[in-house]
Amino acid sequence: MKDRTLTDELRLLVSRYGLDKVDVELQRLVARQPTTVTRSKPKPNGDVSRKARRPRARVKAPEYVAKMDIEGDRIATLLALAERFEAKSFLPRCADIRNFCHIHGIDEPASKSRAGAIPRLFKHLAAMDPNDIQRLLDENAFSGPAELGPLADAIREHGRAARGPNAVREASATFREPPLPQDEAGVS
Amino acid sequence: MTSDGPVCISVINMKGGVGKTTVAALLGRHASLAGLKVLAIDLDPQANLSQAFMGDQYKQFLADKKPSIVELFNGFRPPTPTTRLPTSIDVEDVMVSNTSLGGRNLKLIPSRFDFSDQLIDAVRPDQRVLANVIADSSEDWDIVLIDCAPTESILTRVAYQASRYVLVPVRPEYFATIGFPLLKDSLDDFKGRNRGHTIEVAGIVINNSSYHYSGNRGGPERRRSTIEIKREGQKNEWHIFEQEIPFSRGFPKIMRGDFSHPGDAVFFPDFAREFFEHIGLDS
Ligand SMILES: Nc1ncnc2c1ncn2[C@@H]1O[C@H](COP(=O)(O)OP(=O)(O)O)[C@@H](O)[C@H]1O
Ligand SMILES: [Mg+2]
Repeated sequence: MKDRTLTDELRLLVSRYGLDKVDVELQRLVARQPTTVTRSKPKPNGDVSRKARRPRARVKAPEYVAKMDIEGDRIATLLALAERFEAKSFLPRCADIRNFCHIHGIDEPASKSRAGAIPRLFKHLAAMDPNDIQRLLDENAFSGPAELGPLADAIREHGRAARGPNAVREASATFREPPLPQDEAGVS
Repeated sequence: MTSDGPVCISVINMKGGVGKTTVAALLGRHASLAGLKVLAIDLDPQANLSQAFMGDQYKQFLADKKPSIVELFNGFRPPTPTTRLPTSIDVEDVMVSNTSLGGRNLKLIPSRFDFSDQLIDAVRPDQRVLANVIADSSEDWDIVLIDCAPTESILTRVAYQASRYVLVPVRPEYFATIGFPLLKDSLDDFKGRNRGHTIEVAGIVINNSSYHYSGNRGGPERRRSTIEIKREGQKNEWHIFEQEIPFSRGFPKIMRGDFSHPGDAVFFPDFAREFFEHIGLDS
């Protein structure tokens, strides 16, 4: 937790010098940086070991599942999930995989790629209660960040059905950003 | 593991946009991931908590006319394309589980935004419905979290009826404490009418929910309002939590199911731990 330490150290500085002084000094430091700020160490050129490695054929999730030793009744659901994984409608991004592991109490896969996570993910899924796997499938769960457009449409649709054309107003207030404080909203 | 037993908390502030839903959702997630059994209840007709937990599934939920808190209050499910009579409502049918935000141990009672209309239409909405539902399933939960609407209404009473504690998120801004006397009056009035009921403010949590409050931008205004919050809190003998919730663009992202780059939102558990410890719950 590098950021944690940074926060603690900053807190220390702020308590010693006051927020304003620390802020001014930071601004000064930032201003002195060359325009292209190097955020992290550059990768060494010519990484021989990587180049020498032969590209491995990527195993697709359905192929992986097909080779697993699973009882007949759950293979179909698992294959369907694997298809969705390939189509990126189940755990579409690495962050979704991380969250899935987090929620299911399994270690995050060491691999940074989706493909690399397949073995750990599908081993865990295969061991899950068949009803729970089926539910993942039925409810189209873990399909990534919500799309706000279709959600707003669905609410509007439901609103029209439930209470007529004026229903839309409240729906549009969902996921609103906090309003700007007066002094920043152009009132000076 | 020491714990004072299961507990119900309402997240309340008569102001909108202070972070009630964010706090309720993330406390629920935190508790669920820590292995506590969580019931999250969306009492806000805006249904932001439901949308946060259900994400894209909320669309399907509306389209399928699945039961929500509305039906729980009505006490029945109206006829649907597949059922041609009103049918009785089973609380289990209303609960949504295994969401990608809430995890395995959290169940949600979702809301719909025709909720307020339905209550207004009802002759005498029963403010004890929710407390009864929780009482009936009390063995199933370690913690019940209620996300409230920003206005005082019958729904505030509904939340109080079920709650042992009230948690109040505030933004460190001018007018932050304007709702405090209102909340105090409303709680006192409730206690006066329900003498057998122990309910208290568990505390105030400062939520830096705008970038205007982060770093030095809030400046003296932010400092002044923090002092003001502490003073007003003390006046009412309300605890102020040590851990503030930092500003982070990660919060709105997580709330829509985007777990990439959570930023400073990763510090939320600092507050969650302090909160749970304060109310005597091990997480
Ligand atoms: N600490 C925070 N940092 C950044 N944004 C926040 C923070 N807390 C809340 N928000 C955002 O502020 C808005 C209002 O928060 P919300 O939890 O919906 O408030 P309420 O339920 O009180 O109306 C939302 O867009 C939310 O994502
Ligand atoms: Mg809200």
